[in-house]
Amino acid sequence: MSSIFTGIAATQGVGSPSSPLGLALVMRVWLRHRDAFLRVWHTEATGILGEPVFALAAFGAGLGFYLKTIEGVEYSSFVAPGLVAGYAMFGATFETTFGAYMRMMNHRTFESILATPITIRELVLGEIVWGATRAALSAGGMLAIAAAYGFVSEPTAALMFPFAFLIGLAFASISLTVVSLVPAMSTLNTYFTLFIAPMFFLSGTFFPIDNLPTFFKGYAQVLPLTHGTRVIRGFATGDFSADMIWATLILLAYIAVFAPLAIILMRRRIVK
Amino acid sequence: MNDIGPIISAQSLVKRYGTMTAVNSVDFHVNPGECFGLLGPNGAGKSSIIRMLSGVSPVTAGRLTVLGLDASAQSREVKWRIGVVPQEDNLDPDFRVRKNLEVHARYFGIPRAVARERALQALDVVQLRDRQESRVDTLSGGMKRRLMIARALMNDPPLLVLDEPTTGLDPQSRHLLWDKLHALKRQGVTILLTTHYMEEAAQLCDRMVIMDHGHILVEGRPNELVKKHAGDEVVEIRPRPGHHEPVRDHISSLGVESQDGGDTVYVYAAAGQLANDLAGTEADVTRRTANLEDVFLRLTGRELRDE
Repeated sequence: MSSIFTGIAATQGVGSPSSPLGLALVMRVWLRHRDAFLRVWHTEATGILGEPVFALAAFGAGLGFYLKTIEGVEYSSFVAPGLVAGYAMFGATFETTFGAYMRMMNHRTFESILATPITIRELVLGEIVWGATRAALSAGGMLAIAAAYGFVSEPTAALMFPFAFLIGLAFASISLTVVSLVPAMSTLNTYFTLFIAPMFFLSGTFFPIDNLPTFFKGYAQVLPLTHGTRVIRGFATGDFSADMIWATLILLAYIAVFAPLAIILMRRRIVK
Repeated sequence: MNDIGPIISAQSLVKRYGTMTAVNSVDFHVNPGECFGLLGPNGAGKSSIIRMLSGVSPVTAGRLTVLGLDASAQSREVKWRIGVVPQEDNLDPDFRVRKNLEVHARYFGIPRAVARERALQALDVVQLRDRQESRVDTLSGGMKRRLMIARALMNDPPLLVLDEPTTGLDPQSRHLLWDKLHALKRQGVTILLTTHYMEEAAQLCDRMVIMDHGHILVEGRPNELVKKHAGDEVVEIRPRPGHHEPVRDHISSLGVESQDGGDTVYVYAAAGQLANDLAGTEADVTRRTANLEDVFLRLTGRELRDE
């Protein structure tokens, strides 16, 4: 079969339709998102580093001035890891709700990717891994600014960064499941109103959840961010506890349930 | 690769969505180097066939092979080998022109240096090299379509599938695109396309099928189809207001094959004689050469399709 190209471009049989475990195909999707991100890196970096400057000034320095210690640490050191976990959630969630929905419906990017050797499974996993990457970037920005303010100082705090990736995997998996079901972009607002925003307020970001009314305390226990915050805060203080293992297992359970569910539901939505 | 046998082969191919049958047992094949047309009104089943042979929609029943591969079971391999130009623009707005091609090539695992070189050559093919750094939203409709063709060429496909490639384009863009498709065909690329434009089908297609309601109505070469199903000439008769009934009665008394198109009656063949026979009736009579559109409208009827 002759080539329509000449010279180096005509190299026959370049590339491969698949790869062991399909991991390389997932990474090709991830690389597309990375490239799109890098193209506008200056705006993205402003958000990733700029917002923490203000958030930490408000809650750490501002509110922290009036509050004494919580659980034996200064309020600024209490709230900073809470914000790291919360921003991991937001980083992953924005990317894989509104971002993914735009790519699916408005820009038809999913359609163009699925016309290549990439299948739904790799497309969804690529979105999830990219969502987790955004979580790590957002959390990393918060962590860097918190360290600059002196709100975190333990060396173990560096572990927040990879853990934020895990939090991101959980939230991206849940978000893509939601995206596979919503009839319109506006429905995503409901997801934010009913789940994401309450989670930010009730998951121990700003205060310990132990003294919440029973209902909210119970609700908080099923929210993934509660568990993410627990582990992140452990890394911040250097106080490791068995709780952190449980919390990690719960996040892994969220991933184990929602990542396959997102693939199945997305296939049902797209493949006709 | 697959040098012997058809590039595409459909046998008793069926596509159902729930209880709705979109493709109802069709058979056709596309030979190497051919340009093959799928024609039919909206809802005929063209897009379903395209989606199945592009490996993005599973075959319900029957058999569909593309380059010797099973379109459902080996969809990934099919997608790896063929080039598809969808009907609607799905260029990546996050990237500039050349980068769109390079990102696409990466999905195929094409090494970066090869992808760069291919992108430039593909842009040459569609005359967009000087726009390689443009944002895609600054391109005209015709340029976008050409860029989508360039993108579909990135994996060096022996088969190019185009869904209504010139819909919405101005005549200049359309003719340029035809030239490009002719050039690709000369290079040995097999082409399958759908179109609503009969002139386009007559221009580009070696063979074609006309479909309706999930069935193939006819198959053949464009000029053969015209000869067989519309004859040499067509007479269009427009009765003057108030004279529909008598004119129609007169036509049926002549024993010629006609089709009622509301305000106009179409008569196929025997034009010279007919023009004499209709002299003196209360109607405007136009005589012209039969074309593919006559075949299409004759076979699929003149009712609007609003699906």
